[in-house]
Amino acid sequence: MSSLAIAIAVNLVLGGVLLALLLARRGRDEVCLGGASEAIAHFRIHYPDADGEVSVAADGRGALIELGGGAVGLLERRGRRWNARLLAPGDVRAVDVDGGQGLRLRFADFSWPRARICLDDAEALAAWRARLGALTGAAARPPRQETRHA
Amino acid sequence: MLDPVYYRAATAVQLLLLLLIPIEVWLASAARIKAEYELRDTLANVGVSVGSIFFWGMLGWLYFGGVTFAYTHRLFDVPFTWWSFLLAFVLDDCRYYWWHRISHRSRWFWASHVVHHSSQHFNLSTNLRQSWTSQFSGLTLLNVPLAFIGFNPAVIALAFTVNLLYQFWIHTESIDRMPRWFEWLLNTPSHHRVHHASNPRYLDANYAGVFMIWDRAFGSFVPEQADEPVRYGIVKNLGTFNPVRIALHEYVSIARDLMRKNLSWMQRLGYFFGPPGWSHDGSRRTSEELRAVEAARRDRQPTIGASARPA
Ligand SMILES: [Zn+2]
Ligand SMILES: [Zn+2]
Repeated sequence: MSSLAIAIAVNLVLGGVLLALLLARRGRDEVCLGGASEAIAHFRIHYPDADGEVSVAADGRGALIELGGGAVGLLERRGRRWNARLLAPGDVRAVDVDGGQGLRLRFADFSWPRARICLDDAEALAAWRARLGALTGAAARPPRQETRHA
Repeated sequence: MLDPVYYRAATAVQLLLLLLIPIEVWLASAARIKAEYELRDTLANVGVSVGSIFFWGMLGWLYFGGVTFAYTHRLFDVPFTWWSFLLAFVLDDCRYYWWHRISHRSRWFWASHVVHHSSQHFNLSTNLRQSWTSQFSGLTLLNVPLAFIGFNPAVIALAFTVNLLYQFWIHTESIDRMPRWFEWLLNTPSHHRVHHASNPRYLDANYAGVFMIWDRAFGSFVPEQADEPVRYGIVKNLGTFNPVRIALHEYVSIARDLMRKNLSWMQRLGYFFGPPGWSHDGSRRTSEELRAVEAARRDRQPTIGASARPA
């Protein structure tokens, strides 16, 4: 029994290495967002009635959407797929500025622990940092105040 | 226990099937067939697979122990021949159907099976993305009745193995449709694409292992439709390629729900055994609710066809 398991595991690892080689040959063809309307269209696949003001990431790899009602929409690229989440108060664990151009987000969600959003406009970066900071567990508890630029 | 010759044959077939993965990658990269691979997704599949084999090695005795125990208390002596194998195969396929249906309809069992559905891709390497906890959830008990009737554990294990090996080739986009009689009788890539879809219309459909007749008989058959392209994955897709997070995320989610304050015991049971998407305050949506919302939306916008989807 265990020798069978080991044999299969070895085959799998060999298969994985072979695949990695094959895929590395192939190169990447990842997708990028063309604009706000494309971002909201992708987001609505998961949240059909969503609407709001969209900030598309500078590198086209994601977007943030001000949904109203206290929630923020996040769209992020996973290779050639788009992933969407509605972030409510308490869902964000930490927000850090990453190298001056991006936001590094950590979430309470075990199945989506972190994300990075690249924003090249300093004003937008500061505004989103404050907005997402207001969704962190500590900030979410008391009734939310006007977001303050950090 | 199963004769070693069957083990060797099954391992050989499994190895040959695994070789089809790089072949599919190769043909897709040469644009000869339709298949979409992504490096991190496929490597995550391999990582999940190694864990799944490890835990099967650790906990497989629960399966063999349960079946062997039932066999020692069997009602009849079903002979160990070709016809008993065929009969066991059909009955075990029915067992697979119900195992699969329960695995989708009750959250504790879904927490184990969701792993297989958690990729947003669908290709031969999706086969590798298997549960780590299949022996641990309790549904292994469904294997007991056949042994209790009197089928030899070796026959049952072989039927199960052949069933799983059959399901390898249906994880592909490269085959559109098989001949009509084949699509009617057997599970095919088209039927299984629907099973891996997150579109509300396709949720909780096509649970079959080998024979499609169970879905047709028990009302869970949904055909793949040209006007509704399949979006692979789950309702709340994962934002990680980490095999441990992939394998355990739904258990963490259940634990967090159970630890909520001010829930009644019935509500806690709902979070544990209720259908995926059930919530005590209606803040989440089950498959039925997602379908109803989608249908209402279609009614509101009858002129708009298929919704936008990633290119
Ligand atoms: Zn399934
Ligand atoms: Zn599958």
